Amino acid sequence: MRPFNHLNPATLEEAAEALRQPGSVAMAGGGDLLGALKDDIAREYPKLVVNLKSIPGLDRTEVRDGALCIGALCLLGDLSRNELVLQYAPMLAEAAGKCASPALRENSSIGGNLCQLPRCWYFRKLNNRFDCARKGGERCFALSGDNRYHSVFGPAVFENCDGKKRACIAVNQAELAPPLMALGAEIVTTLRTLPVGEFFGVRVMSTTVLEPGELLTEIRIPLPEAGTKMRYKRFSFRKSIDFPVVNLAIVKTPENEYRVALGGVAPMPIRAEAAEELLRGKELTPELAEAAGRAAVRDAKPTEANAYKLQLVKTLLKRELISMMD
Amino acid sequence: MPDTTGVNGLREEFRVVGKPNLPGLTSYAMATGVAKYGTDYTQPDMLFAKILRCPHAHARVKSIDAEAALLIPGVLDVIQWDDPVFQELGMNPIGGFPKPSYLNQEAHYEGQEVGCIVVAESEALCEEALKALKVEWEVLPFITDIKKGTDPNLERIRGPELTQGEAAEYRPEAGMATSEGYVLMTKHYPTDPPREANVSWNIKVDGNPEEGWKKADFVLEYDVNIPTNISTIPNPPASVAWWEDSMYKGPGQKIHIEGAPHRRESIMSMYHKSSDEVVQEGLFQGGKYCDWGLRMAQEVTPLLSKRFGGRPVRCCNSREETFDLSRNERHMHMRLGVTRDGLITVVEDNTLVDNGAPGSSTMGSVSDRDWGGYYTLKCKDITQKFQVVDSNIGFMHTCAQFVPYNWDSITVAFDLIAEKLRLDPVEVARRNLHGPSSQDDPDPVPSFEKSVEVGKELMNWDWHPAGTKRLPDGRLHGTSFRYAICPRHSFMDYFCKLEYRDGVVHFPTQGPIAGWFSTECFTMIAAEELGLNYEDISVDYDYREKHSDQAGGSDGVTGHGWIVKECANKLKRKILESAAREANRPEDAYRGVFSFPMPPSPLKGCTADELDIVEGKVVVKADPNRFVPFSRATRENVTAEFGGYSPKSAWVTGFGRILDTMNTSWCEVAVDDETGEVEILKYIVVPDVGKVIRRTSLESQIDQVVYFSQGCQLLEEFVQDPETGVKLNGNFLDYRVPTTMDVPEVSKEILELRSGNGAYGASGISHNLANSHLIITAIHNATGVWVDPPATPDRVLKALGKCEIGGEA
Repeated sequence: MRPFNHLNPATLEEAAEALRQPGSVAMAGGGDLLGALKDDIAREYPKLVVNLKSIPGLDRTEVRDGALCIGALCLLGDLSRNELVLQYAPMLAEAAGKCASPALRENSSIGGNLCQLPRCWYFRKLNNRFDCARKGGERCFALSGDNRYHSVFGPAVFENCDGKKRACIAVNQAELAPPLMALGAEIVTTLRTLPVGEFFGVRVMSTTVLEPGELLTEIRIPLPEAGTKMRYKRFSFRKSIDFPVVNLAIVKTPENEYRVALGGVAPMPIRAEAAEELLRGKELTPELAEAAGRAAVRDAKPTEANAYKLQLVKTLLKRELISMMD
Repeated sequence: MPDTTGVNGLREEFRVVGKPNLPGLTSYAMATGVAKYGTDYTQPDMLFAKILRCPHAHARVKSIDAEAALLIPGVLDVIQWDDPVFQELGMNPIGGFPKPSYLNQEAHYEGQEVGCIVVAESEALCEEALKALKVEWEVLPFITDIKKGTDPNLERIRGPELTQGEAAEYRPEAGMATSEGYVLMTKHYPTDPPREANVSWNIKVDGNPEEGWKKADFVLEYDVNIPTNISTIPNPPASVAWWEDSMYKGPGQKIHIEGAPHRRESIMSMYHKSSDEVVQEGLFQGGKYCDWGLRMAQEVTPLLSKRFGGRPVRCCNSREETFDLSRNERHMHMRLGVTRDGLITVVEDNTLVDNGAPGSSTMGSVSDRDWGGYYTLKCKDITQKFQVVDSNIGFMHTCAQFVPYNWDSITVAFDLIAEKLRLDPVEVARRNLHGPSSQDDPDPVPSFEKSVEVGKELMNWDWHPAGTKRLPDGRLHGTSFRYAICPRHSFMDYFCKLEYRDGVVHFPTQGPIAGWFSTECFTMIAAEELGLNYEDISVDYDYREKHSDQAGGSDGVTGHGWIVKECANKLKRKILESAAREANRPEDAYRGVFSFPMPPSPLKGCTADELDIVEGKVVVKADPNRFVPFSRATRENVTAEFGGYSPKSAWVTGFGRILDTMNTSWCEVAVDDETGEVEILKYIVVPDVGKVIRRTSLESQIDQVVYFSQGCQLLEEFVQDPETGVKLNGNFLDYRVPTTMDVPEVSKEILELRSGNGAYGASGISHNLANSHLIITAIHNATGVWVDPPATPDRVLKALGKCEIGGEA
């Protein structure tokens, strides 16, 4: 690891001010950032690391104004055991309890999980070996390279720093995004409040729409009405440590409204709107569950290497929906 | 072949040997963190070194401008490949061939050390300096796809003028013949076709294949594909070295190095030092599996320290820098002639194999041919054609985890024959396995038969044709079986010294230890033979001692143990002789305090032949009530040494043509054909190890070998970018070694038929339990389709035809 300056701000304002300076990065639990620094993956090495853990009150979890409010610095391990989360959003607790490994869960925060950089192996190759589009480079190496873990819904097209259009096929790996999307959560930052689905973006060295100096402070989940059912499912090759190659979350209301969110399949976490539409107002049957699985990947554009993800989405969604049948 | 030539080889009563749960001598240190490995050593006033690594799959350093790096405060030196200092280094005798220079100008795989070494006051400064170097690279053509590498029109990636080492690698030579007349492996025979482009050949024909084809009723043709795997060494290689003053030879004459494993011989040889001029006190090198090659980080630090007046220098590899290969890629296209009864009449093995980067171990390419299973068949008409492709995939040190591979092609053969003839694969194996004494011997092998009997019972074996059975939960069910010999080395000479001093038996040995607890095995054998308990023997670790626990790997422990057994008996005889001598000395020779007379010894009047050591006492055989405690057997220091070779083992006598100890492995899987997930329901190993020495070590060895056999078949995959040849998963997040949650429980029923001829009839274990296709074969039995390893869900789904491109499918 190379030398950098380190700041322990006492307030959000102090942190925001520091993070507006070029060459500064925010650190929550450090689970993502420290690996990136050790591997020296970026074009520029950060000059300043702003430690958000020194700001008090960002790790609280409480029910307020009809919503479950979770501080951005709440650790994944705490989240998985929190009684309020277990009561109102048990699938979020389940998802948090399955992230990474036990040690990492006790260090990594929900905010860090949502803001983590892509896990694409070209992007992560040490010493910036592949200066890809997500770092301000010309091209996405995975598009023509080995993309077995990449997007099955095609690349994201975005503008890089000089305004040129670039493509990136890396998936968003924020594991808690699908359950939060299915739960209809909102993201609170130092500047605004927005639905979780609008929080994610594809940018140079960023997976969110956060502007320089803007900080994620809280996640708000509306309390579910009685009789709401929810399911979370992740699929990974190993039973621990792996990021899921596919994960999904489903919320079913007593009125048979469905929210289905998918992770690991697209440059951003997505809602499976075609499946939701198909399911709307209907009681579940095995046939309907199977049709919903197919609908969820109807618009997919997989590569030869990652088409298996479609089969996984279809199967997992079908099985989880069947498990929700009365 | 039981242990009939040594002392007590047929012993029936064991008090110590085979006893479970005796603690490891170093277990406390390892469990508590007291143990120090290479990366744990630091010294005051220490410098740091890092070696430039090549970012390309194949490239030559044209020039290095180090001016900016050297301007960084704290950066002391950038030593380039052509620095004369490297000429001072001698050859590392372990696993190397003559190097044109120590640090090369040309790198043959991404991540290889090349070009220069930076030395600075901190590791961070080393990294800054490496970034500041202006390296001009000449990027060269590369091969990371060995199938494409066979194209004769491809540009050569070695040469056109071969280096000294490369020339040695391609030199054809006649194979060595054993005393039994078997011609052993060599990399290239004089009769082989000449090397062309990037391909060389190695062809060996046994018997008369034409006759074999005539006897066949049908031809079985299949492929066994084995991917590259990496060596998952848990402790990244690292060393710290400095120079010390020698009291006798002057200032700065002694090298002190910690972290360089495998004894000090390598360092002594490289630095032209005698045994007393190299100090390596550390005991721990971390777990390894037949990976003896020193990395540059473990051997260059004395050189750098010398350059800076003896200041300690530390050099550590990162995890990614430790991604060396443990197995080279191999594609075996097999053709077998088979009779209607399932008897194999002819074997034709056409293997395409990765030759690795220059200097890679041939154990991963062609040198495993004699160690495999073909010669366990009754069939004697065998052709092996190796097409060996130079590549830029990576480097393999010394040996490979999975050799020999042709056990895997046999495993698959039995499954396919069983499938075709609707025969139980165990029965197919039984029909093809020759008898104990030769390939013409029709008798059953007792070790195999017993192992099969036990294995079938544990498995509740009920073989079914492929794709015909589903479990109640809807998943597909599959089983598989394989056999192998339990091998033992006998081509290394060993040495043992035991000393009775001040009433205690001392067992002096040098470190570092390698992880298979052989010293514990030897201590148990010594205690058994001396009539003592395990904890009665004092193991004295001292780097200056000759004895080492290396033992030739786990397969060599029982041969090495045989030497220890002989040594212990030699010591016992000498102790008894000394005790008899002392008991029979004139009375005035015994004096207590102030010369008070001592009572006569209870052993008085006895000869050594009339004495024995029993349960910590020297007793008169005829009257066990007459004894002295072992601790007071004699006042003399008694030393015994024994060295040489253990009895020649069946393995290296016949290379499969003679059979004594064998094993079987069994696997049962469930396959989810909607997600591609494979779950191992049972993994059973029934080895006849001859005789168990240290049960804990043996069980752990089996667990470990199954661990990496499982990893390579279900999870691990070495991925390189097709466009650049750069590895994409050089870490344990993306290169998926199994976690503890992924590892199945391995059921073991260990047999002791006493038919190996290491100590007490023990044989070896490990290598031949390693496999690449037992689980794969069970998946085939479940699904009816072949999935090349690793059978990750995506590959399983693809093989099942469930990876259609298009969401509505």
